[in-house]
Amino acid sequence: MNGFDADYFDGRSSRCHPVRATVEGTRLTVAGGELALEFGRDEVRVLPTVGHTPIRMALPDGGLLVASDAAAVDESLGIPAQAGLARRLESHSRAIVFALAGVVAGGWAVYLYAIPAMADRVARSIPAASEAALGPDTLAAVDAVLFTPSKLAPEVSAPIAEDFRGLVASAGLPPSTRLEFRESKVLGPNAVALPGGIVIVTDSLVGLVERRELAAVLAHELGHVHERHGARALLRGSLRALVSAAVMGDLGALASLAGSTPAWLLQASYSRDFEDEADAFALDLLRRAGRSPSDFAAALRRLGKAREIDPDSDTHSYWSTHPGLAERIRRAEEAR
Amino acid sequence: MNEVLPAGTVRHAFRFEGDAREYFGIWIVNLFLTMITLGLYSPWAKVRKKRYFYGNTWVAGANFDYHGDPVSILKGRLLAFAAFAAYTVVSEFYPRAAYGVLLAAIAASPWLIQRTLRFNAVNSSYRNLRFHFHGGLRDAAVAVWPLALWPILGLLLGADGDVPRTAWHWFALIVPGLAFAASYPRVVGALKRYSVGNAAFGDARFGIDLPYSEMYVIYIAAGIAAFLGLFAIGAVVGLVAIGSPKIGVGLFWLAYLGGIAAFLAYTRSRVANVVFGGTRMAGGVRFVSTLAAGKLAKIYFVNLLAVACTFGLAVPWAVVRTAHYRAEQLALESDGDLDDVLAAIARPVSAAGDQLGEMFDVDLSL
Repeated sequence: MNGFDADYFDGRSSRCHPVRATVEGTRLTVAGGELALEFGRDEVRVLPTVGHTPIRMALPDGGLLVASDAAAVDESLGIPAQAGLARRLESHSRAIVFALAGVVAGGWAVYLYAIPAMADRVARSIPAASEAALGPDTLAAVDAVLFTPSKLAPEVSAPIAEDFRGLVASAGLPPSTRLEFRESKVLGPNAVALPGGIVIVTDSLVGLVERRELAAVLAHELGHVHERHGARALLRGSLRALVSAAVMGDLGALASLAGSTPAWLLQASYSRDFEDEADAFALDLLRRAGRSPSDFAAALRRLGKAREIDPDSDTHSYWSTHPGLAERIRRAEEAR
Repeated sequence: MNEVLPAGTVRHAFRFEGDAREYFGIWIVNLFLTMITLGLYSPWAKVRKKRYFYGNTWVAGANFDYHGDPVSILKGRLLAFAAFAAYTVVSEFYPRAAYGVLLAAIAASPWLIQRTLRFNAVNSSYRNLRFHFHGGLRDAAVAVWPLALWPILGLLLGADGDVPRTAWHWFALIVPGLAFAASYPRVVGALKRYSVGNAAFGDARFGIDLPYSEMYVIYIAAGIAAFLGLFAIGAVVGLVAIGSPKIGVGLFWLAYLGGIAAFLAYTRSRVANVVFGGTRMAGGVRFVSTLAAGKLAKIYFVNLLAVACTFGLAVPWAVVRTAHYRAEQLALESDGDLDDVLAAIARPVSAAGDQLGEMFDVDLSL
């Protein structure tokens, strides 16, 4: 005679009846205290379990049998628990290792390739006018934290603005693309492209490089504008946040925040392909505008010296936004 | 626990029996299937996860069970995903419209909150009896309406996404923010009152005694501590960063995680203790929650570090250890034998709630 110990819950009250379930032929009897029930063995449904939670059996009277001795239930009842695909995968360590490998590889591919590709497609479908509307807001935001007004005399800035207009025309960019002069203690000698086609150049950069070298740096920034790097970076960031939130949703908002921190640190490094694209664009634009790509190499050399990085060495700071300086200079020189 | 209970009082501690290694298998298979189905499997994954956590949570000799229908959850998720995507795009590209989107979300929230609470209650069971939720739409709206002050004031004062430059800009930015901060503890309290006070286990209703002042005490203390903490962290990290920017960045990251862990641990543990402490069930059953903010903060901080350093693979370990701690700090108390009290609870005559899950029901908790 086969049997197992279980708790019986009738489904009409929350009373717990400790019972002994016994299987004889095709009959299942459930007995304990004043309780004595009998069912057909085939009428019992063994519910799917997750992990090592107790076995649950739904009875035709709406009652529930809960037993912890899975082996005894299996042996006496002989009805397999309903098991889905997930249950079968979870109970094989090889399947778990396979799933882990799949998730790691898939996560890698999604993070590095699928998200950028998707973000770029969306960015290209956004009308230029919508992106241009972002410009003033972004400018006000960076003005508040990064910049102070420029102290350049008009006779210094006017020729630079003229070079800029020439480059914009050669690049075939909309005339709304504009140049702003600012000074920044934080950024030092630098140039920045904002979404919506606003290029900012700092006074210290104007003081550091020659006029034609500055034009080469502006060409690089116009590369960011032309390739819509601002909007693409924004969208990549949003999509990455969405995916991390989905994966780590388990841990709630907490983990999404932690997950977003490394992403924020990586932000500087994933802009590297953007820098390469902007470089290639700049070298091409300089040639088309009748200038020399070597101006760009010269500008990079000067910037490198100003940042106390040896332009001929390959070492670069992880947080530097312009890594691999030597490589970039080499490419600019070869472009001749 | 060394606490001496009054004579006749019986205490049953909750227990979580989940295992990090076992849950890792469930979690990674869930993630894998979700990935290869481009997210469509996620409701099934959620149900498996919930069944694992419910099934491993024990009190008074029995465990819980979850019965949610993945298809209902899928409907809710598609809705939530569309809304979130719309919000993200709108707020990135049209910062001025963000208040409008926020207002629409708040207008829809009573319905979403009520549906979600009912879905979760009706699909949870203990001892083969379902939970129920009797809260109405009106009460949900009454609970959340102060949140609408924030965007309404923002729109009225003409605040836009711009960085403030004039005094008026600052005023337009700060007043709605202050209104939000001032109403937030009340809204949290009102939502707890709504969700617990309208819940039932079988025919046994839950009741809650939760003064809003307790919520204000918690959030004001947390706000002051966060403010002072930010200054202290800023000063220390700033000094270190002058010496070595790299160590400064590393330290900033650690301080950032620690700050989040401490803030969430403090508010969550205090709110949970107060809410459970004020909860009663018909038949004189009380809840006792003894979460310690410091202990929980340590758990959260280690969780965050582990999750960040493993690119998320430590999530199962983190959630299981958190569940262990939360369960072991929660207990049921009754005068006299709890089994007798529980045995008296029956299924309500009209069990209409059981069928509600079949209708258009959503579960929005992501």
